[in-house]
Amino acid sequence: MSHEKETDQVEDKLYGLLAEYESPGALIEAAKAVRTAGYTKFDCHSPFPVHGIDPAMGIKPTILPMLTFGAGATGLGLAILMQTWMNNWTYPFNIGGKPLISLPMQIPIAFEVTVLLAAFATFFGMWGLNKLPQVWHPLFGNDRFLTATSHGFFVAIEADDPKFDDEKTKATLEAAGATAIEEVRYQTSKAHRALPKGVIAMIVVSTCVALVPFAYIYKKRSSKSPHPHYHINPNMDFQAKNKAQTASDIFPDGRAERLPVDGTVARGELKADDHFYRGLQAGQWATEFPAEIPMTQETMDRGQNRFEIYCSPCHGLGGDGQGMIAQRADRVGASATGWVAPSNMTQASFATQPHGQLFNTITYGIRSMPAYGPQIKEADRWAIVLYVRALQRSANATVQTDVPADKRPAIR
Amino acid sequence: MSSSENLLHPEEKIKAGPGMKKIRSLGLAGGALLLIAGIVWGLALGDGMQRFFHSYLVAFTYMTSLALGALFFVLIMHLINAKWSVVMRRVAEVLTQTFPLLFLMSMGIWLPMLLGNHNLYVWSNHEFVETHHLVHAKSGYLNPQFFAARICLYFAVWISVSRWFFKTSLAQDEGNGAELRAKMIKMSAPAMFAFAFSCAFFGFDMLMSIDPEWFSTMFGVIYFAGCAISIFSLMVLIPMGLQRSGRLSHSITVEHYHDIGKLLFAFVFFWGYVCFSQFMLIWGANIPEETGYFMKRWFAHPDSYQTIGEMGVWGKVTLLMLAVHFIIPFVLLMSRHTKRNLKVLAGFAAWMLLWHYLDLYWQVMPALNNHMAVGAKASAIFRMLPLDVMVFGGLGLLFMASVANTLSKVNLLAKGDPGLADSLRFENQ
Repeated sequence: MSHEKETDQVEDKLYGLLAEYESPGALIEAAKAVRTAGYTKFDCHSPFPVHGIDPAMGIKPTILPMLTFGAGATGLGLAILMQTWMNNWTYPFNIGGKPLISLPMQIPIAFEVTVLLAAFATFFGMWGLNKLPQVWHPLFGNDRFLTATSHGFFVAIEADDPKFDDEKTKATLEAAGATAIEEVRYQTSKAHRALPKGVIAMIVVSTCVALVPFAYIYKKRSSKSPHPHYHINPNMDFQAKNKAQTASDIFPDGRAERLPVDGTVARGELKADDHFYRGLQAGQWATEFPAEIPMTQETMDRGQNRFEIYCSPCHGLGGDGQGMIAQRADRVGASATGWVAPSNMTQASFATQPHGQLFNTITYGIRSMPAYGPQIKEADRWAIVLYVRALQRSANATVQTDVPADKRPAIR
Repeated sequence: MSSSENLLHPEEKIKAGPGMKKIRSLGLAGGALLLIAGIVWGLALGDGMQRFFHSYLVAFTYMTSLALGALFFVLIMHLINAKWSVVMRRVAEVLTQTFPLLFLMSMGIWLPMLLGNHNLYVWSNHEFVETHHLVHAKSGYLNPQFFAARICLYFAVWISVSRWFFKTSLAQDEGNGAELRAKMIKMSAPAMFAFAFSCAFFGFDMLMSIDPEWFSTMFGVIYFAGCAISIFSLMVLIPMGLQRSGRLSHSITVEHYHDIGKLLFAFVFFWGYVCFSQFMLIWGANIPEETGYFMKRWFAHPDSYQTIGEMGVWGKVTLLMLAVHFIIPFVLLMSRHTKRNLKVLAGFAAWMLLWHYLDLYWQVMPALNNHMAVGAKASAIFRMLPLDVMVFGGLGLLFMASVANTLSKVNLLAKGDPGLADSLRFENQ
């Protein structure tokens, strides 16, 4: 550090007095003496933590436990909020039939986040409260102070202390058993506090090196390549499981998908009621609606809604067979390739078909019409039948038979 | 004689005095009376002592957990070469000397079974085993003869290990402390292995097999967590009791209690952690052969599909346990101030010992349904509380008499241990 002495423009300032002591015990006694003498700006330095130094120096209990507790509680709350938000609102996903907001499944992650934040708060809180990292301190320039990391025990009283007085302070430290006392001076120029150039270079280089993986990932993500991509975790990309409709060596029939065991029916899949599930009454097409279907406005509205979604593209909103698809099929001459135009369901031949037959047609389809059974649930199919009945009646309505007497003047 | 004796305060009393003999006699007489009353009550119920045996199992595993916890304390402190705890170690060593008495108590479980009473473990009943495939498949392990042999083996291990450590520690009082300490540290490692396996398997055999179709690899650890909680509670209460009567008053300080409090806090959390781990895996996988255990401890009618949602008495006990055995002590013991306030700490120690009993009760009693007709109410089980009090009081007083007997004969402090000096001036920073 010889070059520092060559610059004589900078001010040389007194930091304070540094006193060395022989043992941890002497250090504690000295700290007590200095504190009793009324000094507030002083510190003790030892190579290892000395039991009892905190009360001797009059240091208040640390607030670190409160920071840890606060961070832990925050972690707990955040983790539960995060999981609720993810699994219930942004991406609701049924896992194992558990509720979307399921506390038991949240606890492991809540536990981890609690520990993580508490540990962070403790670690970084400790650094912060100890004012670390400290790259420069007036005492660092003192040769005697170097032994503070190996075998020296020191008390340093700052010149800024209101009670500081060179001679008196020296006397206090001496009376406490100091083996050596020195004045510590330091240079006030910024150049002295700056990080050494080597350290700065190291920080720059290591930061650049740390960015390389991210740059590589960015490049890979934003460019195209004819090669198959890397499988960082093959276990995840190629899972040892069977998907639907795939082959498998495990079973003799070579299928991964399994049929139910003979003679068994899954819960809720029995479908024994011929009337409701197949539109049959005593083997004939049902002429009545099943008891499960209430004859209400609600059912009618539901029927209209389903009809307009599934049926109207071909059959038209009025059920007359003039839907958009039917019109276009006519225009392109689709009938030449086997297309059978959708029926006008308001015709008398349909109006007289039993309910059960209409239901059956929806379920299995007919001619060019595909089966809608797999897409539309039974109750909805019945609701559609009900709505078709309403369409048929409205298409064939007459003022005399279908309009109440008091409403007839309004129509004319 | 060792120079370490001079380390003690000149007025320190390290002998228990004649009061212990009185406690021993009272404990013996009271314990025997209560136990006989319990047996009479059990016989009077006319259920082939079934209710009595369940109650006895809870009380017996409770007392054993105290001694096992003490053995764990002695072993772990040697294993990690701990010095701070030297002033308290003798108390734990004395507690481990109850194993011979506990062995006699264990006969109350396996002797009647060998003699043909099958009202405690259903797997000991031949007819039950024949009709239950899962239990039948386990009958090579779960049968009365092998069970009795295993229990005897565990006690042989515990009695020999605890006697060796006790004798060696007593020999330290006469001198040669450093050499004997090194010997005990060396022995503590294999002894810890033996302890870990025997403690876990004792839990499997005694408590888990009460539901023989069910199994959990976590179960042994849960029983161990209970052992640890009870010893750290006792290590607060017994030294405090001795100090109140003027013994050890200068050697054990708030610093030692503070550390015991930390361990108690840690194991309260550990208990919650392992119990939840066991629950979460079973709840998540939802496999019928595993969930039965928790169904019984939650629903009013665990066997009836129609009324599955209805929570029963055991469900409320489960929630109570969550609150009193975990959340309340966890939150309140967290602070340094609670652990350094000796009255509060003693309160929590007694609190944990109380709920440790409920923990075992909760593990054993719902299994009574294994014998009873479906729909047997948990409230019927609770109506038998006088019987539980008699049996627990009986075994508890006998246990206390055994502890008092040992205490009356020995120094209350390992005065010859080279770690004593460090232990005496121990301070939490």
